[in-house]
Amino acid sequence: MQCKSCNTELPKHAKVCPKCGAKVSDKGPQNLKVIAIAGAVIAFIGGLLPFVQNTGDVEKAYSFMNIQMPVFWYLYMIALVATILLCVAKKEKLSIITTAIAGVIFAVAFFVSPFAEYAGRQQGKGGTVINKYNNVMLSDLLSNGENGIGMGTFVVIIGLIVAIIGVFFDLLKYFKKEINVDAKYMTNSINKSVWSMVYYYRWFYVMFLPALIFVLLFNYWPMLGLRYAFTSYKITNPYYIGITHFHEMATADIYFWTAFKNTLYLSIIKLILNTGAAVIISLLLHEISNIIFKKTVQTIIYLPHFMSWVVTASLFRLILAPSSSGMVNTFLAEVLGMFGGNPSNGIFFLGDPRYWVGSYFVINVWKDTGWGTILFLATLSGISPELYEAAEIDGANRFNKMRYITLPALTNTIITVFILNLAKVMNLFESVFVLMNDAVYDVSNVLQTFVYYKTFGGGRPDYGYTTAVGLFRSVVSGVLVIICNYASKKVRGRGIV
Amino acid sequence: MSEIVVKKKKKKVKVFPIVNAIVFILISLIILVPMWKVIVDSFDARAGYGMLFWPQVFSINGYKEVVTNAVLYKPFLISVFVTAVGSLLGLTLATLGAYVLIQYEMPGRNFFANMLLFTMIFNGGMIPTYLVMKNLHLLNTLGAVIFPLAINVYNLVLMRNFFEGIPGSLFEAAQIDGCSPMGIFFKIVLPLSKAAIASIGLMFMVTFWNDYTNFKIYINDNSLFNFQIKLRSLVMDNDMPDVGGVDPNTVKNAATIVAILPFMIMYPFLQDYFVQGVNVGAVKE
Amino acid sequence: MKKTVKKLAAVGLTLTSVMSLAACGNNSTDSAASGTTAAKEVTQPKSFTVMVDNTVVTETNGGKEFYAYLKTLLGDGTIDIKWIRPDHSGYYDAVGNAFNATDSMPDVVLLSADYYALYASSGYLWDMTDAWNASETKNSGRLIKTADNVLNALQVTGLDGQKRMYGFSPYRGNGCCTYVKKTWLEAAGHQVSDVQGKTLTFDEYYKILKDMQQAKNSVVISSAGYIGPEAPYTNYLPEFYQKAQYSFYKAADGKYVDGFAQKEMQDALTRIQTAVKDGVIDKESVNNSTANARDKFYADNSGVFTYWAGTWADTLKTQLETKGLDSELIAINPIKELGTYVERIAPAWCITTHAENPEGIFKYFIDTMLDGGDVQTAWEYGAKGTHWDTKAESVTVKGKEDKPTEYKEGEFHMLPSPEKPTGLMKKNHIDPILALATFKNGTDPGAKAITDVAKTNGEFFANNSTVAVAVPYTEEMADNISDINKQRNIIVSKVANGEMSAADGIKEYQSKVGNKVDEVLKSLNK
Repeated sequence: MQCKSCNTELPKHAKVCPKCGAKVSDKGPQNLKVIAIAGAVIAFIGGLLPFVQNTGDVEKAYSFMNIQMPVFWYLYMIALVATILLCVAKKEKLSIITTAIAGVIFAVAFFVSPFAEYAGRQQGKGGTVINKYNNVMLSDLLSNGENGIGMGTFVVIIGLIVAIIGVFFDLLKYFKKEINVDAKYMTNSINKSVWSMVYYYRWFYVMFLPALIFVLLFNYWPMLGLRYAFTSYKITNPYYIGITHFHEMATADIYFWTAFKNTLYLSIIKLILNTGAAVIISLLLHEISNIIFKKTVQTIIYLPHFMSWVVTASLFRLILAPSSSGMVNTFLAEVLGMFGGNPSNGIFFLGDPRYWVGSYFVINVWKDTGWGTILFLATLSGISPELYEAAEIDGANRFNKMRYITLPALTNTIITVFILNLAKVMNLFESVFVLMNDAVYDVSNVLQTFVYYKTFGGGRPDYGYTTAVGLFRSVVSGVLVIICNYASKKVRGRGIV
Repeated sequence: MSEIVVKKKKKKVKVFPIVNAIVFILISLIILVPMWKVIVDSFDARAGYGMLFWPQVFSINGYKEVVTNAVLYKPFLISVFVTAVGSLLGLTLATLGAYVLIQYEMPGRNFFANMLLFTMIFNGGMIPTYLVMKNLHLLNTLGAVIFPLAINVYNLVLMRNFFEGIPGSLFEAAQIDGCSPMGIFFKIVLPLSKAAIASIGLMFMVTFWNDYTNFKIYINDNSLFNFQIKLRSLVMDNDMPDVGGVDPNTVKNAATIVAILPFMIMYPFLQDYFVQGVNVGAVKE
Repeated sequence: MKKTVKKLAAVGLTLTSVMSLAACGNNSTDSAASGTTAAKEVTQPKSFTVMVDNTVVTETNGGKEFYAYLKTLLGDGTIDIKWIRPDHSGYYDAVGNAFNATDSMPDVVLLSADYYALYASSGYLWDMTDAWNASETKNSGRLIKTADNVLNALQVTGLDGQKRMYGFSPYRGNGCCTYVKKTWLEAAGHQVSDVQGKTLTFDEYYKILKDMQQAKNSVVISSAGYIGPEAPYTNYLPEFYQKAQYSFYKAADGKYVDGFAQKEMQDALTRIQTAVKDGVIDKESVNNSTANARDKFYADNSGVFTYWAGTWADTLKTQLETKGLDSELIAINPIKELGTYVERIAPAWCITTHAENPEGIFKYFIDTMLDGGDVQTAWEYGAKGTHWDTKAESVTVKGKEDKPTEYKEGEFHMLPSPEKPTGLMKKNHIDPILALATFKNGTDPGAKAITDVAKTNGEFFANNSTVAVAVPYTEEMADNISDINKQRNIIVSKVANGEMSAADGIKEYQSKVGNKVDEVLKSLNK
């Protein structure tokens, strides 16, 4: 085969001419078949419809996922996902087949195969058992407990039809004139067949296998468990109850919003304080000219970072105790003569909500400030000494130099550090967990501790509910990371993930 | 560069440097005093309360107790075991994964990379992970505390950043010499990344050694607790084994010191590796 | 755009693959292991699992030897018991986990009163009423006279709404009484005779506490939390709570009410608040664990301590002795407003519905605990040859090698504890002072091992206490109780630390969990 523009002999499977870069394919530029994708999405949503029930009333809560063998549901959803992916991959002709398969699965499930369905629980011997309704047809499931053919059925059918017909309509054509090949993909490798590349890299796949297995097991499998957020999961036998938990979370839970507020408040103030302190310390440290002294100070202020939160908490609990064993209160009472000289009347730093938050921040600054200086110091050491010399010739004093040279140089790093850590604010757990107690619950309870205590704190935990709270946290956290990533790209030209 | 600064300073009245030095001596004291207090009390047979900065009655019985009492040294050994195995496993996963991630032309590379990065954006959360551990029958086994921390995407990406610093010409040269991809990994990448491996290995070690949360959630078998958990119950709940005649407070303080000792000893020598890890992490993630 | 789509596709594909993976693994467990309880010959169980906390001798303290010894005593010596021993502090987490799935459910489990009621009401426990009525222990005539009080408290409502017995306690629940240090009393200018054997009023009692506070310039009471972790909850500060009830109880008119919302609780919280403000009660009580509180008492940082009666009376005394402090403690009578100390509902041995042969397990495992012979000895004192022995030997404890004790052949004696060789083994699961049944012919082999202090105090407590009343569990209760209790504890801590008045505290409590409380009350009064 030869290139149309320069007549060079092309390698096998070439998509791009290696000599002139012209695209080999004779097909014109293609657009995404948006209508087909939209149809598949509608059919997909139709499949999800049974989730959307705002009721804990189990007798009425029919649901797809309570069926004993949800294999049809999975197959149906997979077929639709495949449809969407095929459309995205510009193989929309094939997508007709998968859509048809989805339709067939749906029809089989709808007319032929009855399900054994769980609908609600009942107290019985051997604990809570789930009521089973046999011979439930898909039509029942989709209609959400109503008699006759329900909304869901129509949604699904309409979605499937749109998915198939949409393949033949190129909607985007009217909006875009031409789409060019992205030059980024024009490397030599493009001209090798995928399989020869896979063969060439075969050992790399083996090398990646361990990491892949671990990620699938410990990162992706738990994501699948997020479905429990839509279930009632008390001790045993989860069953689906729709979005009841989220409704309760938003309206009825007395701790949830406080926990959410505390999470944001504690972690963001902490971030500001830690970063601020780290900047000041770095600036001062940068001014130290004695290398040995500087190194020693650095070593010392990095130390607390290596202490676990358990150790840190034990340490401060001892020091801040409102008794003669507490160093701070003893100092305040005996040296400064406060509290009538009796340390037992001292401030209960970790048991009094008015002081707990402050103590928490101080402990955090104590532990992490030193470590936080590393990045700033690295930036500072990168500032050219000539700048300082020039400034000195202009008569700038030490503080002018700090103000006009050092600080501006740090700005970028400060923003970087801020963005990096902002993405982690929802992860707050251990530092609070080891320092909190009942007396300061209102100011110290954060989402993660809330989830922990609600699940492992006795009584009969509803894993479904705590999963729902966790899902909320994950989503907020995810959105934060994406925003930070975006900010990071804007500010420093590269993302954080 | 600092030499230049030193020379210039000599002309001026040295008020600022002195104040500055005092500030840092104070800061160092603020950090060291709490630790010093624990050290003092750990050597004090009477575990003096209050503001004593030197042991009243010097004794090493507290440490002896930590080392000889099975209730205390077993958790310590478990910590050592978990740290060693976990860090090795973590390093293996990170180096292998990172090496794959720098194969930009490998089919599926972007898929793998996105798959890893997605876990940094979104995760299942505490309870679903707990339920997975239950399904895998890992609850109350050390697997539950080793595996989830061993696959650390952040460290993996960090390692990739280190690898990317290796000049591409080296790879090309090796390829021309007929080196296989695995050969390149063992003959070029690994030897050139000793510093990176040390740096990330240390990060893993700190994580595993200081792990409290995972033990708290996944382990409730007494005999599998690590030192952090034991320390917590020792200090907070005063869950003290029989320590003979030794003052419980002395033992508590000694245990606290033992918990931070490994890194206190190692860290001044390895400081540069730690610092390097942080810098590379921020430059590009 | 294209790249983003690719990224999304990658993620989507992954999700699909994982989802499909899960589709294969989605085998819902069919539940309902209904007991086949037909009238039949009780056969000896072959093997079963037992889950217990650390009240049974721990494996580091010779537990394995105890298992082996017990095995030789039960049935024909072939009963294979698999012991599950979770950590003490995480015990109920572990129990909860085990009950999560039918395959991990133990056959026999030891449960505290709250969990007992919870699991009984959820239908996880086997109804042993009939088995108990026909049991050897019940008909042996060896039960102590207060045994019925203990066992009646174990009558709880099951799934069917009937009050039945789902567990068995071989010992009394014990409770806390208030110990006062003689030295502190005298330092405050009071005499032992002022308090011992007398029924003080709260005002008199509080005056003594304040005098001690003045004299010692220190807190007087450091309790293990303002609220105990299990029913009756108020037992660490009984004089302050007096008649106030922490949780739901049946009022005089037969209706259930929320004890925490009553006037008594408000008054109690005010008393505690005042005491904390006056420096009588240690404000660190909010953080204290039981061991923390004990330690402060041993270190002479507190002078009055409400703690477990019986064996602990002796332990507190010996601990103070080893610290070189004056060890004389006076257990004071319950003050007038309190009336009587409260005895905790004893933890109960329960057979789960998972057990295949519950009758057999009851007969061969639970019923034998109080057989008045070898098995009871094992449960009270441990394994022969490890924890106690009857052979002629000389016993020394570590640290006192110069003072061996000689025993003749056949003389029952305790051996040094395997875990703590500095002291003798004291007891196994059943505290000899608290056992519900005596030995056959009154021949408790270890009678000598019980110190007088412990015995006297045990009797003192038995005479001055009543058993707590169990609260029935309902579905609504199970779902809401952890939130309600959390809020109760927060309010207690806040009021005690002086952040708000007791009245405001109760108001906040009602505004926060009032609707949950109402829901529970409605279900209780149904």
